[in-house]
Amino acid sequence: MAKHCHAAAGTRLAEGLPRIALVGNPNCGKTTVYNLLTGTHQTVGNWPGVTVERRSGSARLGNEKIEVIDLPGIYSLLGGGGEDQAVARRFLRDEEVELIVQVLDASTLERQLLLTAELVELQRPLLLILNMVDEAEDRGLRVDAQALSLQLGVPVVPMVARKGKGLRELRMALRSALRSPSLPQRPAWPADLEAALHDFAAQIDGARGRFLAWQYLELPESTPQALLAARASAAQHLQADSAEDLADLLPAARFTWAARLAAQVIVSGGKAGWRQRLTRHLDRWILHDWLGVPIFLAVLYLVFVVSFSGGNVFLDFFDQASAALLMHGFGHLLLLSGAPDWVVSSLAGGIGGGLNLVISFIPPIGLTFLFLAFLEDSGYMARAAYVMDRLMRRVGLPGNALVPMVIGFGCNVPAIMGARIIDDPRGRVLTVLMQPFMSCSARLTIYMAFAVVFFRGNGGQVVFLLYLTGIVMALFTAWLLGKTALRGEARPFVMELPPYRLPSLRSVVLQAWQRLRIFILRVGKVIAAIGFILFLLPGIGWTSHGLRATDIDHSLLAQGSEALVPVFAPMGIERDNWPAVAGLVAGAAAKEVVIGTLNGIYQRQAGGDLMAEYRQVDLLQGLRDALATIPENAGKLFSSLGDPLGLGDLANRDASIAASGASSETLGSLAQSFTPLTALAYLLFVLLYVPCASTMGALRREVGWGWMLFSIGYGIGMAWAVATLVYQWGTYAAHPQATWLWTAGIAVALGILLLALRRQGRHQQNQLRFQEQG
Amino acid sequence: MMESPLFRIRDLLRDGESLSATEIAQRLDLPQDLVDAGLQHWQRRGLIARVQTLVQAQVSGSSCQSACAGACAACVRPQPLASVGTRYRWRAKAAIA
Repeated sequence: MAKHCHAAAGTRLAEGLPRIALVGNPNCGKTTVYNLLTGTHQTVGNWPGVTVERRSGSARLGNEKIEVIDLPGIYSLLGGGGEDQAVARRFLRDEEVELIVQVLDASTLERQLLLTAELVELQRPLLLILNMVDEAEDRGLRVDAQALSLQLGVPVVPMVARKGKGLRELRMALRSALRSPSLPQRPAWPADLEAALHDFAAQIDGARGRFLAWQYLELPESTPQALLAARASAAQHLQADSAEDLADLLPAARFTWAARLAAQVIVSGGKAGWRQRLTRHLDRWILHDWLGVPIFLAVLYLVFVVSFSGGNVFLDFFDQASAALLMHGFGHLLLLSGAPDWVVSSLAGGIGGGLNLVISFIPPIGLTFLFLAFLEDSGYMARAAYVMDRLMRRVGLPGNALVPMVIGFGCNVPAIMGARIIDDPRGRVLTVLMQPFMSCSARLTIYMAFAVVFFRGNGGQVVFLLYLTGIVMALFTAWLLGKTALRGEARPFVMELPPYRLPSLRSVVLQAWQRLRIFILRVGKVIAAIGFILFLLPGIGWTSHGLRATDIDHSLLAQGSEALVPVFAPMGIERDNWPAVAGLVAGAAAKEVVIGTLNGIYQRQAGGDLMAEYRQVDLLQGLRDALATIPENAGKLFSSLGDPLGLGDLANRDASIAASGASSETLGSLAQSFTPLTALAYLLFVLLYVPCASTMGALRREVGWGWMLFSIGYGIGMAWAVATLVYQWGTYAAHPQATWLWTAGIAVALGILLLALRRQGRHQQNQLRFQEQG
Repeated sequence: MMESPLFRIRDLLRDGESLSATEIAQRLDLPQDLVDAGLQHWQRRGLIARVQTLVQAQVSGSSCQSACAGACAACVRPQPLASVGTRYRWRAKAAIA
């Protein structure tokens, strides 16, 4: 039954193609081998019910085409690890593939052979790739691939996948193994173990009887009822001469076998090479008690500067060029074809505008992914996680949770996707749910506009306060959920710190491209759809002639926003300030849209032709203008290295107006609509409320609909509560009774939330307990 | 017959000392990656506990060689920097229950 379900879930790239599955311990270079084999043909597949990915792509072996499946790293087929390892386990045990290819890190052969011992017992065609032989040699270890092949009875291909060495030999070996598959030789286990396994396996139906015999003996709780007696008999036989528990005795046999086999095939000798020496010297500083954290922060600062300052060089080009083509050009074409105004407005402005938003994000996000892939491949990320472990564990998070948080300052979307570096599923969900509170660069535009008008003298401090509030709220959220709905301890790190490597350009670019592709395709769909809806609202309204393009004051947005104003009254938004609410509604698509909407509303209120931007289009000039932004922004890049947040702009009114993207008229209107206190409350709301559409899309993909909806509701609730408390206590003298009432109401709501989360946590733990007992 | 590295790791920790993975590897003359795997097994079984975290960047190298005159396994076969600074101790049966 299980076989049928998983076979149905695992979609084949194409029917009839031979499939090979790449398997190996985490960090053994499996993905590099995968990328070498598949080039850029890989597709990203989702497994039902889990958030980790497996990849499948096509590769050519001469004239033959095969499907290559890259599974998450795994230590054992029998258990342990997170959901990602469970995915790989299920695949290897239940799915049919023509060949299993295990990638082994030759420099840590003994450990890698523990998995080989289990794969051999699966009795399926197997091929071994002995990867990183250069690093092994650098450690003074030479592995005799031929001897290993003879011992196991399977082909063994030495490789340095990072450099592409051994690829030709691998292709030849794969072709040969697929043509004439050979089963591996079983290890010579101790006689009593062999006899027990043999007898027990004979009573288990199916081709995997021998492997299942291992599993049931080692993990008695997984034994089906019908086999309990047979298991007991085998166990009794095995334990006749030993006081050891079977849960230790069987792994011990694998340890002995791995150590003995490694001793036979490893030729030791020589001294540590340059890579080991470099690793030792670098680690003396990078893992230093006091210097480790500052060095890590400096590296992240670099990620920040390079990704967002560097990305900004091309951001305007991507933004303006895609706006010229997808919005103005597309709208013009629609007009020429005779489409009605509201169709033009909603298709070109809505869908075109949504795509324009996604495309604008490509440069900073792409650079962030490149940088991340570089850090991961170089071996630094494992060390960064190590140095931050102690600090983050205090709030119940793994050390590497800090990495996505800092990336979140630039954009929440890569931050959420960056949480994949966390193995522990609980830690990953907590980390993902923290990200919407990190002040992304889009929010900075809003801070800027308000700071210029209301906090001219101390704008920098106000902006920093907002950044700090975001961090505190993110940590509070992790702590709150970690104590209630997602109870548990941060999983301890048992880390392997690989030697430093210079990552290959190909591998880094491919990894970054894969992540970027997901962003564009998956998140793009959501942002385009939400952009369509949110563009429709301010552009059209019900008139006596039906649904028509209208002025902003009579649009669906104005009517809807006016209806919502009372909800925001406790945080100081007055009835005639409906554009502030409209900004928040539109800002759900993207935070930049808040100030853009305010800008648009104030300008549209002043009158103007709504369709003008589609009637008179100079596409070439638009593209030329877009191109001209690249050298202009490149010049700005060098001046911004010392101030990536652009806070220096606050000292200069013109610069800050330009940075905020708002017009002087808009700032004048802001001054009339807000007071400094309501502005601060509004900014706090903007900081904390519903993440943008692309963040919502990323949340859905990474943690599912349930947590995405929770994140939206929780964010809005927290934003409203914090903004209301600030406004109410700031105006306490004017209405003390109302202040106390609102405060008490918020405290009660928080209490209810706490109870609900605790209940949810208990419910989940009970379910887990039930599953374990079942 | 060769005693399993898994039981050798356990027996060493059962003597009562708290040891780092590096120290275990040195004392038992085992590769550190195998020791790490063994520690993971005993951790999963709930029989050992991590007792403290120290940062000791210098796992093998000059200080190691000066301590063992370059004769121990870790110096002959330099080890990967695994589980740096984490120490383990055997948990009493009562504590596990």
